[in-house]
Amino acid sequence: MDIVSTKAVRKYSFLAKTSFASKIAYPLDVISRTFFFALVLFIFTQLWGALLGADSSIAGFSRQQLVWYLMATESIMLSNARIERRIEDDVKSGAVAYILIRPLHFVWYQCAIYFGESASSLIFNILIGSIIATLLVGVPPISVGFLPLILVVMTLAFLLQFLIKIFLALLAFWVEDTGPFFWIYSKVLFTLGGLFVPIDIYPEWLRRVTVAMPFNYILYQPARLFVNFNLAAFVQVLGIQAMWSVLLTALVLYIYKQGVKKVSVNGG
Amino acid sequence: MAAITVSNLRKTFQVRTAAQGRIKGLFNPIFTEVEAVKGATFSVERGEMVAFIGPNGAGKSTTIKMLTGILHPTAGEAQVLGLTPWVERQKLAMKIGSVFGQKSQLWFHLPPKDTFRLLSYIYELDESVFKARLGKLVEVFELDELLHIPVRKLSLGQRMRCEIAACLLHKPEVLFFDEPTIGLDVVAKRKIRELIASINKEDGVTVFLTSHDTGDIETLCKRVMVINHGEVILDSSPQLLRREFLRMKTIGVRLEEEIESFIHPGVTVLKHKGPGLKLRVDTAVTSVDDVYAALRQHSRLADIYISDPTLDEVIEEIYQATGSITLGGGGYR
Repeated sequence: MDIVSTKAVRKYSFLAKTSFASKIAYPLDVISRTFFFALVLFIFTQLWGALLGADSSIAGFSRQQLVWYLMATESIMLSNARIERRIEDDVKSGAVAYILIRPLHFVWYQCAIYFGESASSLIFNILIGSIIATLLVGVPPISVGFLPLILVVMTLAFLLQFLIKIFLALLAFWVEDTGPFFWIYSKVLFTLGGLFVPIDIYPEWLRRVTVAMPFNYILYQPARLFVNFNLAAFVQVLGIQAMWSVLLTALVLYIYKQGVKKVSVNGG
Repeated sequence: MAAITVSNLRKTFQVRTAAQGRIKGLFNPIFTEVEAVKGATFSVERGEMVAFIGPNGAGKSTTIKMLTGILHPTAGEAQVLGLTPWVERQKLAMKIGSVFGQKSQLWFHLPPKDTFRLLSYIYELDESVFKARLGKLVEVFELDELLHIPVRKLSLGQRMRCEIAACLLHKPEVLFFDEPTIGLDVVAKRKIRELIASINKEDGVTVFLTSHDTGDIETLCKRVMVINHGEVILDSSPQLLRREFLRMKTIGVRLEEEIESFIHPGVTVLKHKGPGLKLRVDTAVTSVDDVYAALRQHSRLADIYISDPTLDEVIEEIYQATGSITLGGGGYR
């Protein structure tokens, strides 16, 4: 496959860079989204404050850790680019053709754009989120040395998120409207992903179910490592994320191939 | 040497019958076969500039999509630059370029130079090759001042110049232009046409053009293919097309003396006001000379002009003559 050649890497990384630049060409848009993020963070901090005393904890998470946990999960959640609508429109209108006419692979093209756009919001969200969280509960108990490792886990979290989203979006080859799938997916991510609370507070059976699925590797695991780093846990999370990435990539490429075949043979 | 050869290319789509209920259609869909392209056969020489015209739903887009490898044909063969498009799409993509007038390839919020840079990576151009090529295009297309302005702030004409320059960066050998002058004003249209003509001349690029603008076709192409249902129903030059296919002439005269009426076989009076007459002459029935002589019997002529019908009228005539067209169908798929 051409994916591994350096020219291909340059191709897609520059594509990501371009979509990043295009996104921040609209600073007002970025700032308004960040403002919403700040609001969510503030409200939940107040909520945690009311539920927990200053020194009590839930499932091993102190109030301070919970706030920083929420900062991390919300950053990932709100930064992830909304590519689904565009992909669905492209699939339905046949605009996929404009991408296919270039020496690009549709899936990796979308992936590059997803990463570029997501990164543009992530930077702002983490920046603003950290300021707010620091103001509310103080500096987090994490050493700066682990941050590059956290970044690796976060990148894979975004990759997983992308693979799930493009998988759902590609279903547009077969169904009229993929909207309901995305609605369900976002609710699944809220709960099984551990958006608001760490999944450790779930009953044991539910926690097990949750861990067996990929969703907690998108939000819960990166955020937990962020507030409470542990090398053994890091290695384990990385391994499982990689496994899910490979599985989902295979699935996405397969379904894409089927979809294209359907369109090119039957005409959608 | 042929750049494009197509033989018996066919494409049928299966379209879900819309009349069927939604739920019922989900489990037991009924499909109707729609033949978008039925047996297209033609070839285009290297360096040729060909107009590909037909009404909406005539199979233009479908044919182009097969030629660029996006669609698999149902049957038939095609070779573009010696490659079978749908088998070697990625390889072919490196050698062809396209501009779709209604779909921009430029990044809307970024200046054109960013898109050019991105394309240099997409087409895997070496830095030196890219720089030299861009330099030349900037010069020819007069893009110097536009390069650093976000695309959203460019006028449509300026944007189109950038679009066309963008599709030329990788030195494609075959270009597909779909409505390249749509929405442009007269001056911008002329500019774009000049540019397309110069690319064709200088680089010897094969140009495959679809347009509803007959001006594009007449000024650019020496060859016109009229298609319907993906069948080439006429393959000619724009001039020949008019001469051969439409035997109608329009004659306008101003007589020195007013006349009551003018009746002559094969002549329809389009307008008659005082000494002025506008006539539609069917040269299969009568000749221009006969009409002239008949007019002279009534009066001396103060002024006369004879004109060909417009290409639009010719094309309309062709469709009417060949019949069986479905106007306003299809579109992009």
